Amino acid sequence: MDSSSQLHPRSITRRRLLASSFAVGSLLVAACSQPAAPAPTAAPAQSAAAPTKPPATAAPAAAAAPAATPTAAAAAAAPTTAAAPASPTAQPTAQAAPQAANGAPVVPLLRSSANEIQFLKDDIALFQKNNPSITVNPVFVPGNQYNQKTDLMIAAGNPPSLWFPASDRGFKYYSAKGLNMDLDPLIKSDNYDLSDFYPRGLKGSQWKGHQEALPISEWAWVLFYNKTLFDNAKLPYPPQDWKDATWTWDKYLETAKALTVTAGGRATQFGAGLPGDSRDFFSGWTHGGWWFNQDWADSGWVSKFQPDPAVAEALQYWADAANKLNVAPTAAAEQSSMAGAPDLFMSGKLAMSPNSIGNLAQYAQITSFEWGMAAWPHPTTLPAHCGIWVDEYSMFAKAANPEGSWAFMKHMVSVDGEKIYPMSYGPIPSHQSLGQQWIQTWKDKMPKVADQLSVAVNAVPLQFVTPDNFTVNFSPINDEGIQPQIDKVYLGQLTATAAITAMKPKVDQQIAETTKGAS
Amino acid sequence: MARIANARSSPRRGSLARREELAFYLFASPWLIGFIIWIAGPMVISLLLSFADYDIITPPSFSGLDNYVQLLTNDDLVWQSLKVTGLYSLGAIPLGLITAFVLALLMNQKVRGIAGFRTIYYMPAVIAGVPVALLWMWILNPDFGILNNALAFVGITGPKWLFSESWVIPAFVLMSLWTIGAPMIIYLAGLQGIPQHLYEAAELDGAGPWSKFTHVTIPMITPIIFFNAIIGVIGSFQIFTPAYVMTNGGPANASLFYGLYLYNNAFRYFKMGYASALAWLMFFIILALSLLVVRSSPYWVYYEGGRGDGGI
Repeated sequence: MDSSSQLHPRSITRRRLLASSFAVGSLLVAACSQPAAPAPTAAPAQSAAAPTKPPATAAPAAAAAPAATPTAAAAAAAPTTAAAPASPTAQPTAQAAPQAANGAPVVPLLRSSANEIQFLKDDIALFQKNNPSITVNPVFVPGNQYNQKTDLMIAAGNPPSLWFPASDRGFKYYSAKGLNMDLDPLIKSDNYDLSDFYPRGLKGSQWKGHQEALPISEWAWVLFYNKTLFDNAKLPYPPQDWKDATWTWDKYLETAKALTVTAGGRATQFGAGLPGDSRDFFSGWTHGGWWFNQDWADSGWVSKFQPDPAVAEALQYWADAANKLNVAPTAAAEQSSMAGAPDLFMSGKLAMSPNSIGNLAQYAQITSFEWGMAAWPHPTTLPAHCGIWVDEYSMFAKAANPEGSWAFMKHMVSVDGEKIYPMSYGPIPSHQSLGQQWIQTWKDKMPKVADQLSVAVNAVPLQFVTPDNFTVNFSPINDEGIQPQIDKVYLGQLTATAAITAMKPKVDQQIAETTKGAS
Repeated sequence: MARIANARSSPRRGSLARREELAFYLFASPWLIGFIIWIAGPMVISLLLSFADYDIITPPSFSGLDNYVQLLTNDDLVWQSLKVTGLYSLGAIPLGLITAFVLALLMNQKVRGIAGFRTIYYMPAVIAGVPVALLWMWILNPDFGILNNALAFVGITGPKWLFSESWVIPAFVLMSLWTIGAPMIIYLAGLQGIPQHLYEAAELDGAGPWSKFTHVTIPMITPIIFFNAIIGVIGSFQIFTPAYVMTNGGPANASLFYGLYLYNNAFRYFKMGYASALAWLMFFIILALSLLVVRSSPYWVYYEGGRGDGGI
């Protein structure tokens, strides 16, 4: 009922205004969106092959939005991308002048927390000292924004040179889209020695048999235990030997029961924590079982959901520990640590905690009780006990300065580079030869557990790699398929076996969806 | 009217009219440009993307109606999230409307220091988002939280709130009362706008307090209720932050709100096309519900000056 239209037949009505705004908006959309860039769509077709030589126009054309500034960087790189290691024959010329006049800066996108930023900067400074002609412009981003930042940089046509995965979605997400650089030609031409890396980390860094990443750090999981509480209960400490077959999960439960103290109907001291303090996927791993097909390493990603019986056994074990036997804290009790309070182990309320050595730096500050590190209980089936978080570096095929990026990557995963980061930050470096030095570094920081640090180093060869190393995109698989059913097990509504049966349809669906273009 | 129209519609349109039109566009241009760039444009893009598969880093690939077919027939999490959001709204909207109204009635009393009370009741609405969610995590903690401790005081064992499938939505409904200050202020303004002479006339006719309330206050306040109802519908269907911070959809998807599910699809799984389709479904649902409220309004909303052009 527009009275204005009665006044003037050609006047502006609300309806006309809105409609014309949408029309103009649509026109803007049509004008701004570039035609689908030929280069990016061609990339998935050659996922295992060396990267294409992107012409200078491909980078701006890849922009979903009219991004003018990245083109300057891309254009500067254009003349030198002709020297990109596109084929093995081009290698010698590219590598003969490693400090070739490639002015484009190397842009590593690095996950940063307050603690690790200084080590990373020191490592970069060392590289710059040895390679003055290569400029490194690092971009630091907090872990929870890492994925978004990566995608935005790629969408803007300015992919980071070096990439450092920080969460469920690892480098394989990009490998599946053909965006990662195949490192095999580079490794071959440099005769780069891979033998010193831990084999599992190296295998997890492969895609369809090609090396598409290099491992940098290994976050081993050990069993932290409260020596004071063990002394009070007059129990022997857990063993240090990973191969000690008497230290079984049943024994673990008995020890946990002996260490649980209840007062007034509520537990004031818990015998054992859950793996990683979380009620999730990792609970299924502890007894040596595996959730997926064993031959995943051939392709680089898991294709079938087929949990061993040991997985259900493990899941049930932990759910019972939490619900029936009350030796493990409830989710509510752990939530307090999520919201900022010190975790239960640090408060001296947890006798045993199977957890990542990422907690070392924090636990080093404990003064109110003595604590130690031990091996996890030995599952009845080998080989591995639980997950290990492997961090890797990978390169994007369209990085602005491939030789510079490769030189930088080699430095960061070299023995010298790893002595700075991650040696003093916490995780174990990915070079086996640096194991002893890691022990030495942390002996100085934590003299009280000096003789137990080898437990962590010995753990590395025994442990699986984590989801980002064997899935393309773990989030949907976990969030929609696995976690809701695990929640039900921990709520006591389902048995582990029933939960696993219930998981299968959704997990299969998500595996299929996430790996749609991969093969 | 017709004569004015004739005079105005003469073929020689005055330059004054043209200047006025130009002036209009000039003054409206900041908003217009902003609307086009940040609302109309992205809405059109989102509509187009809902017919494609898009993960930001590779160009979108057209997939027709696949996303819509998938979300309507092959994705039980869509129905789960709609159910969760629906249950939440069913609890939160009436509770919010009634509580805000009752509070506004209280705040409308001529009591000394009432301004202080109004400030106190409004203040929580100023703090929003993540800190509030963290605060409520502590309050609702089954073991340490003050809510369960208070209940234990009167002999009730409190439920597990955010860790229980059946109590997690009531927990969020409870939390929604945190922002009751804003609708309360609007009700307050409405209450103070009710002319005194109506109450006096009612008294003269022998109306007691309850009759005055039901025959004067409530009818006069219905436009405000109408407004708050629509805002409530729109707001409660878009709830996201508390679920994201506190439960992440758990336990077992019992608090998977539609907004959270959309966020997961967009920014955790990077299925932008699918997320766009989800967004448009949400748009139509909220639109349908809002239209329902609007179309029902002639039956219960009373406008003192007559309806005129008051409807949306």
